[in-house]
Amino acid sequence: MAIILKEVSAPTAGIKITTPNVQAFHNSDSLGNGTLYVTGSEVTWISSAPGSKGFSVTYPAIVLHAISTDTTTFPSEHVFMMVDQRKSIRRRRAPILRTIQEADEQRGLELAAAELEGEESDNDDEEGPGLEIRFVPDDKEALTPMYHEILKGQEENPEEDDMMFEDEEEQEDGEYEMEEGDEQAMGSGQWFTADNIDQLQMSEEGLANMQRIFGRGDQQPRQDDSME
Amino acid sequence: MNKRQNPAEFLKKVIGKPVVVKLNSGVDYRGILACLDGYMNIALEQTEEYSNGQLQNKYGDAFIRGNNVLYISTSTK
Repeated sequence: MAIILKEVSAPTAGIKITTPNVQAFHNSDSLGNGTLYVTGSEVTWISSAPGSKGFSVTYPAIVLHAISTDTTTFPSEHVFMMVDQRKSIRRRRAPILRTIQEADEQRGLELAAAELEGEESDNDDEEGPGLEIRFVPDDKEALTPMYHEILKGQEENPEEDDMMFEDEEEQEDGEYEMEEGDEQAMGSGQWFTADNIDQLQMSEEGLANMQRIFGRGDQQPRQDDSME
Repeated sequence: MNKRQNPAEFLKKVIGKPVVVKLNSGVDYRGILACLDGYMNIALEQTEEYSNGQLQNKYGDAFIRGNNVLYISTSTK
């Protein structure tokens, strides 16, 4: 699978960090030198070569990102991103590598569409997670800020159906109902004295209260609960 | 909170004992920790209410909502 670069306009809104002189790589193929924009909704790289070619990756499609310092696998320290194209297709989001000025790039779009459709067909599970993209800044000091701003963007753009990131709209799913049931059962007016304390079951709220209450004062803090 | 573990072992040490319950508001309740529920709501017996170190009230039983409790310490009395 190849990356098809398209004409991309530099983002204007929600920019967290702009890093010039960043070389982008698809696998180990250099796409040239350019500027990396990390915004609130996507990561965009635009070549400094004439034509403003580049690509944008939305956060839900970034499977992982990391700083790679292992120069035995790649000659330069870089920010590594693994990108899953299929995610955005299945969830009917915009394609990851998209144009902002689509009309000028009709042919490229058609190629990309054909590529994406092929990917969506039945063999899509065999193709692995997709694209490996590397960003190599001229200035090594830029690696950490780039990484952290992408991280913040990831946190601000949770996957809509990801159980780990429940938001209010997602609380109709099974996990939430189960928790609600638990809490009702445990808070249903059953009291525990020295006689039946062994049957005690705490709700999450109760455990949090207990840690807060007994983690102070004269008692031994229960640190085993807070260890991750 | 990574797992739901049974805190009974710990609570055994304080249940039935005289305790001082400090609320977020700063008021103390001294009494016997009689029982509690799954929300860490607690019930005290022979309760004395102290504000700024001064005894304000005495209650036979007092129910305290867990969310309001700053800490519980075992009383020396």
